[in-house]
Order: sequence, then C-alpha cells, then structure tokens
Amino acid sequence: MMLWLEYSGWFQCRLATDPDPSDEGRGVSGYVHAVPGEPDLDRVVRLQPTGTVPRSHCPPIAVTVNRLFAENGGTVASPIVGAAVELLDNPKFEGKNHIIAEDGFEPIVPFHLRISKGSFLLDRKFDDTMQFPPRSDADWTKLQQLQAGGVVISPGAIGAATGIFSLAQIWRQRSSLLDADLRASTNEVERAALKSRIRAMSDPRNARFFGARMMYSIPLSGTALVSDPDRLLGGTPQTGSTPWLTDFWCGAWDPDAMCGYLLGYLGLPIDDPGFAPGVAAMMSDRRQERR
Amino acid sequence: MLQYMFAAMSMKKRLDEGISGEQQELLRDWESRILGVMREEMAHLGTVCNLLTSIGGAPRFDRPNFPQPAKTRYPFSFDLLPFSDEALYRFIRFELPKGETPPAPPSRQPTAFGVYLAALSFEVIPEPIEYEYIGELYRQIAEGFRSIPENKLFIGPKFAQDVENWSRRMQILRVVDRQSAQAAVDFIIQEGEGSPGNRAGSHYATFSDIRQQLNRESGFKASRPIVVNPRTRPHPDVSGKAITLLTNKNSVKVAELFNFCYETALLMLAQLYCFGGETFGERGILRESARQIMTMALRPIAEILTEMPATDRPADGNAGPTFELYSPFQLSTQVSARFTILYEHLVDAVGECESLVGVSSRFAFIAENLGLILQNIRAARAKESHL
Repeated sequence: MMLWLEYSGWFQCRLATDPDPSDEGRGVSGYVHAVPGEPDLDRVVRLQPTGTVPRSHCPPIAVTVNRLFAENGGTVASPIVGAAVELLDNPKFEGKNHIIAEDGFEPIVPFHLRISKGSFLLDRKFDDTMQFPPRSDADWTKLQQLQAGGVVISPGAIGAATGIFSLAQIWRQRSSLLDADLRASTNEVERAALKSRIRAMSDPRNARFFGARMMYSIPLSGTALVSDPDRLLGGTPQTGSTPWLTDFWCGAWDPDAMCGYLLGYLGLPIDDPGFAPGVAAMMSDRRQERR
Repeated sequence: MLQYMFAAMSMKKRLDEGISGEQQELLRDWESRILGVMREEMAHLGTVCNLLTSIGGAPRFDRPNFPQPAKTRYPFSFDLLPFSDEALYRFIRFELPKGETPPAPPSRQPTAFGVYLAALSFEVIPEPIEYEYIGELYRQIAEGFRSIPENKLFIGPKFAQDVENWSRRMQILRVVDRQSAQAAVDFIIQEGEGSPGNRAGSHYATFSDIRQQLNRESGFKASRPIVVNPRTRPHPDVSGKAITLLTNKNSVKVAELFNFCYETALLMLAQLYCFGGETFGERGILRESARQIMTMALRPIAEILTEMPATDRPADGNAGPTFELYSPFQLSTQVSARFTILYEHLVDAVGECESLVGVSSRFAFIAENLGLILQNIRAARAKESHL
C-alpha cells in the first residue's frame, strides 16, 4: 500500500538576492538585507526554529505533518500528525546567480529529509553519491532532479494555504507594530533595524514574489533510516532501491520575515513495490536542461 | 567605472568596524546605489561597443594602469580612491552636466596636472576631441553619426550587435543606423546626466545625493583604511607618484588573482564584442559568463582584499583591488585559440583560488563558481558542435 504524509508550515531562508553574489553576507544590491544587529545571511533553508533568526511580528517557523492519506484517499488518524519535518545538512537554494540555474529553477542542495516525533523517525537522502558542485554528467543529471520546475503564479493557492491573500495588508499591520516598537526603543542598533524593516515594507515591489510558488518533485533514493517501534505506519516502508517521492511547493515569500511557506507530500511505499522507475524523469519535463 | 567599484568595495560593512546601526544602513544604501551606477556603466560600455561595431570599428578593452593624469579635463588625476568626500567630488565632476554648478571641492585640494595640447598636421589624422563634460564628449560623437552619410558610415554587420538584456536593469541598445545611434547616445547621456530640470535618478544626482548625506554625517569614517592606488608591481604606463606598492605576501597573491580574473572577464567581453565567427550559442555563454565572473568572482575577491593588509605593518592600511593589466591586452584572431586561452585562464584561476582557501574560506566558493563557469562554457560549446 501507499501512505501519504502531508506537511506544511513556514520556513526561513536568509539569502541575498541577485545581483548580489549568492554568498553576500549583508545583502547590498539585491532587495534582501540583514538589518543592523543580525548575523550575516547564510542561505540555509530551515524548516524548524533551530538556527533561525526570527524577526518580530513574523510567522513562527515550523513545518509539521498535517495529516496522513491512505491509498483510497481517506485520512488516517495517526500520532504522526504534528511530527517535525526538517531538511538536514544545511541545504541551500543553489542557483549561484544563474551559473547553476535560472531564477525559479534553483535546486535545493543537499536534499536530506527527516520527519520525526519521539521515537518515530523517517530519514532519507536524495542520493548518496551525488557530488556538489557537480563534476560529472551523472552529477548534473542528478542535480536536475533537485531543480524546481519553475515559478507558478498562484496567489489563490497561497492564500488558501497560508490564510494570507494580501501581504500588503499584513505588512501594514506589521509596520504599525514596528512603529510602536520603535517609539519604545532606546537601543540605537535596534532602532536602526526597525527603521530599515519599516522602510523596506513601504516599498510594494518587495512583496512581488509572495504570490509565486516554486514546484519541486524529488525522488529520495539514498540511505534510509526508519524507526517505528510503535508501528504507527502500519507496515514497513520500502527502502533499498525503492525511492520515496516527495513533492512540495515553496512560496509566499515574505522578504521582511525572510520566510516562505512550504506545502508538500511524502509518498511512502509500505510493503509495496513503490514508484515505477522513471517517475522522476517524467516529472522533470519543465525543469531546465543545462546539459 | 573602475574608480566607482574601488570606492564601493572600500566601504565598511559591519558594526565591529566602528559604525553605528544607522551608519551601517546608510553605507549599505550608498554601496547599492554606486553598484547600480556601475551596472548602468556596464550597459554603456556594451552600447558603446555596439556603436563602434555598427561603423566597422573595433571595441577596445585595453587601458593604462592607475593612476593616470586627466590632462585638461579634470583638476585631478584618475586614481583609485576609497569612498570619501574627495572620491564623491570626483565622481560628481565626472558626471557633471554642462550648465550645472560644479561641486564644491573637497577640503583637501586635488592635485592639478599639466595641460596637454596637440598640434594638427594632416586632415586625415583625427582631431583631438576636446571636452570638459562627459555629455559634451557624447554629443560630439552623436554629431559624427549625424554628419557622415549613413550608407558610408554603417558598414558593420547587423548580426554583430549585442542586443540582449544582460540582467535586471541592464539593457544594451542595438545600433544599426543614424536614428538608433542617436538613441544610444541619448540613453547614455540621460542615465549619466538626466535632463535639464530633471536630474533625478542620474549618476550625477546619485553621487550628489550621497555626498550630501555623507557631509551631514560629520566625523563619519565610511571607508575601510584602504590605501590609494594600490598595485602589485611597478608599471611603465603609470604616471604620478600617489601609488602604494602592496608588499604583504598574501595580499599580493590575492591582488594578482583579482587582476587575473579581471583580465579573464575582459577576454570574455572582448570575445563577445570583437567576435570572429563565434556561434550565437557561444556568444550567449560568453555574455552570461562575463556577468557571472564579475558578480561571483571579482566582487568577492575585491571585498576580501579590502580586509587584508597592504604591507606587513598594519598601520599602513588595507589593500584593495588594483585593476592592473600586466601586459597589453590582446585577443587571438582565431576562435578556437580564444576559447583555449579562456579555458586555461579559468583552470589556472580555480587552482589559485583553491590555494588561497587558507587565507579566506570564501575562496572555496569562488573556486566553485569559476569551475562551474568553465564547465558551462565547455558544455555550451559541445552542444553547439552537435547542432
């Protein structure tokens, strides 16, 4: 049988944007900046609070399992709901200013998914042998599987998922709260940071990507770790050469919070042959071919 | 443009460099705006190449090393100066529209150079172009395009024009006839000077505004302690005494690597604009690679340099990008040789970066970028060969 886990939530990624070099620490010529008092930008995609640099009045970071679906489409009541979803090994959007991929096609590298709650654990890498930066045609082919399929403008889907149909309205409310914080603050660095954020949110161009989603579909074929002592999955997930498939979108980019929203699914073959070979290639039609 | 980049790279970035939070924000804004001017200057360079190509001319990428006297045009020399009131004064003077009040000189009077005069002998020899303002120079160029019959002037092939959008906010204008030549010149003047009564957004207005803001922040040391006109060795084409020879071993290595990557970027640009049979795809990858090497190698190396010592005595100040050309810049006449030389440059640059990871971990990132640029060029050429 196949079991599907749905997960969603806000993630943080503090990354400089074009035309800054991708490792720019403060953000200069792009529209994303570290404000005074914050550590340098590091580009790491964080789905859980550890390591994040939260900004005041912004969404809480946490991507968790929402629900489980059985093959017949029915939801499955499960203690797995609420499990934390993480990407391990400091993954980054690796477009490298178009050297690796154009805007909207950036691969997330490395890709190592973990879902855990108590003694329950699902952990699998995309691949065990891919080198990054790619050095061979095989590496480039694998990297292509990690790329997004481009940007889809979908404010409706984002609004339904996040409850935010107008980032401008959220920013007006947040700016009012920051104004109040500014009036109350006597710390020079904090005041400079608050002013910077208020100024950035006053420019509507900075909200332009909120309604866009990047679509990913990634087969996980690397080493798998499974710990399910209470048999919450109802069976044993296939590992070995049988891939798990995760498809998800990242969107709702809020550059003030340096957060986006992620909604996705993990398909687990439980005592089942799993996905047909080539499924990833079929899903990669819209991905950019650099090679 | 190089003087603008030197100043932009010299700015302080972190609170631990003795700046307040407000000043950090100001500096970020100023650097962003100067880098924006630089991007537009790159577009001007491409558009000037198109102007030259349209009339059968050859784009030029050679130039003397810094410092250089500015002859009759400016009351100062061309120097690599850290960001300061004096640097901004010069930048405003470079972009000053005719009829506007010249900027107030900086507190330290700049050095004046001797007057250069040329004697005319034969009419076939071009007259020296006399101008006090950049806008005047471009208006004289436009006059040349207007006065020579189109059928005699536009002998360059139309397919040689570079017409791509290089990136956001950076577009190269195509030149194929008198009308498009005039539009190209107007575009360059407009971005540099603005128009009478409306200078907003021009390079002139940008530098004027930054200078006003800087002067409001009295006592604010905005730049790192960068030396003036740094260089790694003596050059016969350099005039003036205001130079600083870098002697710290690692700084010299990094500055030489910067110059090598700078030359590699020039090779890409020269091959793009002086093409001798490169395919459409090859020109595309040269354009992309030139942009990428500037952003993902030159800028990071320049930033690293501004935090390295110029000499072994910290009191002497920090190094900076030297923009040196060690020999006359030239491009092979043969396409295959051009690419071979470019590959060799990139392979060598990757090796040098890897050897400098101990100096700054950022060199691993730069080595990755250069290696990937090399792979992309090779892959694009391989794809072209199969078409």
